[in-house]
Amino acid sequence: MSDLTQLTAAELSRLYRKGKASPVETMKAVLARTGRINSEINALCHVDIEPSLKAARDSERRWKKGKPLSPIDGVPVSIKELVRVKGWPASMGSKLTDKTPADADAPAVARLREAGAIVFAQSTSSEYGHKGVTDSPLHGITRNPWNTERTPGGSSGGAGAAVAAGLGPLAIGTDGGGSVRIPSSFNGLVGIKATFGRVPAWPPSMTGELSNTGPMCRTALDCALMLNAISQTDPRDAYALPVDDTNYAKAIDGKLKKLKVGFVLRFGDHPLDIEVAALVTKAAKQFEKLGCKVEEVAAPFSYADAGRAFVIHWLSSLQRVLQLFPESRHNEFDPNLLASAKAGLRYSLQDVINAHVTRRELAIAWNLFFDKYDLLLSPTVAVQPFEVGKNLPDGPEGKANALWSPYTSQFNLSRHPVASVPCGLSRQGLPIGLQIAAGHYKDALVLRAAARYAEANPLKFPVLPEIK
Amino acid sequence: MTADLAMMPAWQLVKLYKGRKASPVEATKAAIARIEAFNPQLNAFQHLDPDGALRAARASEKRWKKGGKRLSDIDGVPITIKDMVMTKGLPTRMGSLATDAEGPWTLDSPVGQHLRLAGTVLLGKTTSPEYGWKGVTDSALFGATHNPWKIGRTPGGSSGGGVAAEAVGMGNLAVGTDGAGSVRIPCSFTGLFGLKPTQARVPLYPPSAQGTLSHVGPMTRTVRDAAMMMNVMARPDPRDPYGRPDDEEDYLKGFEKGVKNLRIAYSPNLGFVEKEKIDRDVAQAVENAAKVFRTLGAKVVEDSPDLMGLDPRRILNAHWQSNVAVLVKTFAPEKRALMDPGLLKAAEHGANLGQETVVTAIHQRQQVAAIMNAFMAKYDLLLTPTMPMTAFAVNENAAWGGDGVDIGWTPFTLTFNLTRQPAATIPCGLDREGLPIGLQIVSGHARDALVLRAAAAYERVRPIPAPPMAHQI
Repeated sequence: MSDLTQLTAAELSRLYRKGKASPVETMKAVLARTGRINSEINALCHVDIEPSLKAARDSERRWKKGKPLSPIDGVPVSIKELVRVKGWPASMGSKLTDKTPADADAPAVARLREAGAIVFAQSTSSEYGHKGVTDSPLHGITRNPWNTERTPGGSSGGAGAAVAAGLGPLAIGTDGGGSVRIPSSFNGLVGIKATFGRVPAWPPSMTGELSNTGPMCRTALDCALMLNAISQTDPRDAYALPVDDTNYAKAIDGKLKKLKVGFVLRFGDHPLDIEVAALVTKAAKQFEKLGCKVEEVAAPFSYADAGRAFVIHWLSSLQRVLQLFPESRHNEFDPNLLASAKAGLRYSLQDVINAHVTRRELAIAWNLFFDKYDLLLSPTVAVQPFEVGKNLPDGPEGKANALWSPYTSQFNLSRHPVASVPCGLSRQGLPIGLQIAAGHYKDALVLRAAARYAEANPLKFPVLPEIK
Repeated sequence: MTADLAMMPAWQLVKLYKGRKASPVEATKAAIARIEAFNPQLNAFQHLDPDGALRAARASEKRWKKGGKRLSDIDGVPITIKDMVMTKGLPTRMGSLATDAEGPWTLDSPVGQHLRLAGTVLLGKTTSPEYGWKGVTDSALFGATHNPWKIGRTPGGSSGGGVAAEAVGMGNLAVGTDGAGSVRIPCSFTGLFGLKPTQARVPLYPPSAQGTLSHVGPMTRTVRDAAMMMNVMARPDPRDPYGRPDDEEDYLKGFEKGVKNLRIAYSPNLGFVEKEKIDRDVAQAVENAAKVFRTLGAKVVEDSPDLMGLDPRRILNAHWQSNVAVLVKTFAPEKRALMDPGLLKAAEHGANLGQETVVTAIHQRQQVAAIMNAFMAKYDLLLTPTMPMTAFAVNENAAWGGDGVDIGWTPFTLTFNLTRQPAATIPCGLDREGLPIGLQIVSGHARDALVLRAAAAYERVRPIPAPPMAHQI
């Protein structure tokens, strides 16, 4: 029998249907593996053993009756600690947050439960998801299972590390500036930040209209199966899009023939790892073989202006943490969060409003890009997974590289659907991600492109060693 | 005959076109005759283009004669567009002396483009206060616009020119914009139907200084005409970064289904408006209207959202004041000196708000939107007054003697700019002075068609009267 912890949700579903594996077996295998290796990578900060086994038994009964709630019934899923799960504290990676168990599920969690998925564990995040790596005052450092001296990225680093390590094939992350795509790239996963509003969220995020809830999995099909559940509408999200009844698992079928693809290697004057550049360029060429017309083009909007608008949005939003907790406790924040929040306070009102204006201009520029091109291809991140414990990787000339993730945040500003799909390993054996974006509401097209590319260029997913 | 064409609903007018009983040129001439008769008193136009309109009408007439080759269901219908919406070939001044008077006017907004491609006949650009900054209509550029129901009263604003024109047949259709109520305030004050669609349902370009508060919508004498306009205007354009999925909705489908068994909340004060601020005639007329919905078979209950102490007025003020603070700074000092002192005062207020206040207001907007979303999940529709009052004197910046810096005098409308939900106004009676009162009809996101359907049901039993002036030609 195959190792159930290394199978995708779609594969598990097939075995469940045929009676060749059961949700209880899967849940036990995942819990056993979690017990063995979670302490090495620190991906999960809370694991619900008994309730998960009970949920697995319930699911097993449904499959036996031939009445599963959905294809992902009985599949274990972890939830990032920024997302509410009834009965668990919404800890936010922070020592300061109220640890009273939440009294309601966030929309995505509620939908996954309704689909029968087993919400078995909470995954780590940087504090309030404020940075693109994953360590926090509450839970310490989360490590990349491909190389535990490296970061899994962030802020959904626990989710990325868990799926890559076989601690549940499905994970929910959140993405306010790249926090689903960065760890998907660093852990060799497919992750999608759908069109803003496609996946309802609650309560409103501190970072407002930048924030998105998204799936992180080993395949585009698994992302599609999750989207089928979590894209259902929820009245608690005022930005939720009308339900469009797309079956994403079906909609990702089909060829990419005749699509116009714009390939943008650089978004501006930022450092770019030479191996990332080579692998992503190769991946873009592969799209020709898939029947697309690929053109290498320039980014449609000023990288400097976009970056400034994003940083102002981000930091001015983060300053609200200062209002949430008394100043006497501010020393308990991650020093990086405290510095960011204070930096956010220093922007003028004019800066903030100008950033809103820039956001609209940037979104229009990308809209017009997607009027011309069906897809955008770019690197997901400009660097390889770097050393744990650092907020920034080393840059050229020994300085810290603050521009290591120049590709992700523009689509938080513009709200376009965008995914990361693995496109190879660096010489050091670390995963590299290809970013794929499309026009608003073309989430299925993004996943279809990721699926066709991944099928033609499969990543050899190693069973990661169980480090002692 | 020509007088009738000008006051005729667009949907009837095109039936006459179809049967060759009237032509676009005749309708355009009728509208122009009314402009000559009424505009000197009302001052509804920032720019008139009778020659261009007649050219467009002749082109449309040819299409109708060919039989069936018309560009849309409103091909050849005379229309006016607010001075805040860019139209290729016609000046857009934003009601401001500080904007360039020379042009060139090369840019078409999505709405301008869609209406042109639909074959409508653009008569001219209607007045707006500077950058639509207030809920009444006067500016240094063209003076004050008056209410056709009573000269000396404001038509409301900021789409005041559009409604003054529409109410007396200076055009069969009108386009307004709405950032805090600027379609619904003037429609309420002049006895018209007006719809602020779901945000970005009608695409907008260039982006408004008011961001996602800003909406474009139809202002009409019948509900069906608004639905026909939506069928043309509510089509996607890549230039709107917030554009909604193209659902190819036909706003006339199910239009006549009525309101039987619909769940309707009637809220006299939306849960936060102080009762003493609502005029008694308004309160009574709206309560009566809610009863009408009950007689039409809807399940009407009195219920209001619990806004948990959040005040939409304060939230909206922080948004729009800070936005105009930045807007006025885009003008050179000598241009700024030409701007409305009231607008500059609001901008100064905005500049002094502090970043924290505005960031908090942005977050509170989400909270209000979430509460209203949850509330509208319980109901199909919500009924409230559109305005707490009826039309007041011209040349005031706001109701109750206010300076206009605080837009809180229109609490019912602005709430739905924050939430982005579709909200319409339909006349529901006259006050003790004979001035129109508006009923606001709200629904959940993207349910614009349901709002239109409910308004149509009400209109069938309470048809919209024209102002006496409209009959004095």
